[in-house]
Amino acid sequence: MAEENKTQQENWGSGLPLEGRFFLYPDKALPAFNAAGGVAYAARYKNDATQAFIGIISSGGVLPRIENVHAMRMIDSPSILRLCEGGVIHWPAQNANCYALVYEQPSAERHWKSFNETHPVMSEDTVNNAFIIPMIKALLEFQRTGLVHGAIRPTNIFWREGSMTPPQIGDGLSAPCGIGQPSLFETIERALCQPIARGEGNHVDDCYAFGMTLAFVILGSHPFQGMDDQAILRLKLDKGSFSATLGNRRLPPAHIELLRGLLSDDPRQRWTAEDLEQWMTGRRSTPKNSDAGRRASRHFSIAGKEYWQLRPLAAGMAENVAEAVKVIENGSLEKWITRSLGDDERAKGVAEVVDEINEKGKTASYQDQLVARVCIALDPVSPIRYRGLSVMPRGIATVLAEAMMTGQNLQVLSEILTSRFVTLWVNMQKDVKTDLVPLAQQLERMASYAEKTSFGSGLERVLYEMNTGAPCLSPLFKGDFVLSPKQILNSLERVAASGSRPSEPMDRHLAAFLVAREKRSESLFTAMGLGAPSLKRGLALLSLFGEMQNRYGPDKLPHLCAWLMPLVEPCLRRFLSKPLQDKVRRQAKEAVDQGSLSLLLKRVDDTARVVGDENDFLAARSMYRNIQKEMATIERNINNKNQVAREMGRPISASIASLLALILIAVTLWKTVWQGLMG
Amino acid sequence: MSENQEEKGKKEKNAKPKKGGFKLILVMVVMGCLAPFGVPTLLVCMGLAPTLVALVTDTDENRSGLATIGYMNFAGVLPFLIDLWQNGQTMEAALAIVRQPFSWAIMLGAAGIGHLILYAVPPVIASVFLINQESRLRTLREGMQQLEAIWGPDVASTTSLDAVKSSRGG
Repeated sequence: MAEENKTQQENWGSGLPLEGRFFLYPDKALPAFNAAGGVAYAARYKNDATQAFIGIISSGGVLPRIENVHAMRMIDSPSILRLCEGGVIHWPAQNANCYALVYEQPSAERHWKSFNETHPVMSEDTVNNAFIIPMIKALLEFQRTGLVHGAIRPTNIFWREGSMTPPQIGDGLSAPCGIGQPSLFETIERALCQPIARGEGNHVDDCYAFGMTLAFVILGSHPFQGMDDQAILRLKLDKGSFSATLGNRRLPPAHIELLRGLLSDDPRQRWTAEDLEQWMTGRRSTPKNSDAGRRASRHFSIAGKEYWQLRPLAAGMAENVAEAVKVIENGSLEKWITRSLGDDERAKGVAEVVDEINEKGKTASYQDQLVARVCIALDPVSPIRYRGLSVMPRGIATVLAEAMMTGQNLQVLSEILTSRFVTLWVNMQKDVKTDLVPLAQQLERMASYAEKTSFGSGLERVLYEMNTGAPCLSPLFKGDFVLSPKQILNSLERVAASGSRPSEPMDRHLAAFLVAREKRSESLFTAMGLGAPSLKRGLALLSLFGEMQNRYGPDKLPHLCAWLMPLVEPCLRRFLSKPLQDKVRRQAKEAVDQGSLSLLLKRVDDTARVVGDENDFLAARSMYRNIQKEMATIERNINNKNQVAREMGRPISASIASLLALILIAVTLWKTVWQGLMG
Repeated sequence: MSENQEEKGKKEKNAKPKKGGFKLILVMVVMGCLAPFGVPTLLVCMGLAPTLVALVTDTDENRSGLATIGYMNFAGVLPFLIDLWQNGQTMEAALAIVRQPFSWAIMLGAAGIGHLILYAVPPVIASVFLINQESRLRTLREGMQQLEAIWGPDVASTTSLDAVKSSRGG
């Protein structure tokens, strides 16, 4: 067996290891399994080359749903393509680290290769047993794990009609929800968004996608053949999804009931996996027809176009802001809602929103703000529509990530956050309002982050708080895929060793990533801002990275230490004594050679040493002043020689004279006494 | 304020007579000391004339000139005073001494030596002192340079510690 495996591996050539379990083969592309978020390649188990796998390499344009990988790996259902591994791999074609997802290779091809295909219509029993029941089991599994697949469509289902193998739902994690999913398979409100702005949906959104997929399978063809996305959306808005999709087609009653439940445009009425399970066990119920919204008795015109319902009107107003402002300000919109639509409650909501914005006063973006708010009041379940961007509240995360990755202007997103549109959006929801309160609270928090400009805040912080699986998008890690703070120091060491490093190993992205992932204090990063004193910045960086080295390793980071050396130079210049400064610099270089950040910090930020140096400086200054005074005295003496002679020489002269006189007097007295004694 | 100034002025006025009073007391003490010796002694004491001149002319605060001349002059007069006292302290003996030019040469010569000391010693002392001071000046200059080398030019300034640190980028 081992020999056979070895031979198989040799036949496959050299693969790239992923997480120590799989090999991915860059020269063996599998285009039939390409996914929305990347290209598929052959993959094999490290220890068993006989089993076939596919590895989807994220292309880098969009972020894979890494936060859902763990939940997806927990799912073991024959109706869902089994995810075996997810991790970072160095991919030579992109010369960068990429995220790879390894799935079991499905035994069948895609059931639909394109939406324009036609398939023979299957019998009711065949559809029920071979397709619907396995798919319901898959949806039950998704509901159990709380995972939203987001990519259920005929072209993402691997199935061979007539085979015993159940259909398998393909990849849904290689790209954010909504990307790669045609708007046909999205609910009306999600279809009104740009694909990237749809955000992660709910379980009932998966059920809607299943309903539309089921319509394809039952009909054997595209239900909207020949229509573009906009035309399909208009039709859905006009008639409701169920009626628009099936029209007057004759279908078995059980399927009509099922599709009516799945394609309901009211999320509260739409069937969930539990409802489907009950349907599967034979319980039959007739879902309410919640299709197209209330029609007005008279139309309302915007930019020459007639509108009879609120939802299309809101969409039309968002596209014609200047005209919309006129009808809002002259009160004709409110009158139309009250008189023609008879919806006093909605009219009251619009009036409140208009009053609220008028109280705040006119700002630069007054017209856009006004129309966006009125649109939310008119059609609360639809996305927030502001300055050309239609985004669901949860879609802010993916739009932000994409904008950051592609370097787009973030102004509109910032304004959406700071204008608290999401709070208004949640307040306008009726029955599901309580479920959305955590979302509103989260977005309120995000708005406060977005308003701050300090390091560790701003839109970068919002990005990492809202996209919990996003890698650090710092330009420092270009070509790298840093998912965890544990990887940061190793990556920085590589950047430092590469030679093409920026001046500092810190930027807004890295700061925000650390604050969000490590739950670190923002105040630590405030000192790293460009306006902060360079001394504090250097020390803040060193203490942060030093602590991370202690916590995560590695033990030696000589290149990163060398990178930080110029930044801690102000710390060295703090020492006023030049010999001490040189000594500390020598010690710091030793710490750099050892690659220890904490030792480097200890060397350059020794408080006792700094205080001692300051005291010594003050003592030296005092000594210097005393020397100056003494020198001045001496110079004065040198310039006044006569005075010195007078002041010092004359007393000494007196002393000499007194000594001499004493000797003479003593001699005289001795002589007198001697003469007296002698006779 | 003005009262204080007046008091100060009064004190200064009181202080001045003290100096004259000391001189008076000194003269009186000398006179008192000389009184028992009688006129012949006083006659011999004419040899102390240079000292009396110095007493008047020496304006030095320490009276070191008076002391120099006075000590030497007294040492020159003392042998003659002893001689007078040994000969009974008579006018004849005093006149005999006064009449001898040798006596005057000794008495005045001694005072002259005092003058010579006063003339020669101070410049020598000053020169020695200043040589010493120049050496000290060199040492101090070196000390200043060392301090500047260790602490930089800021050691000579009066700017605050924080300002020094911020100017160094620390």
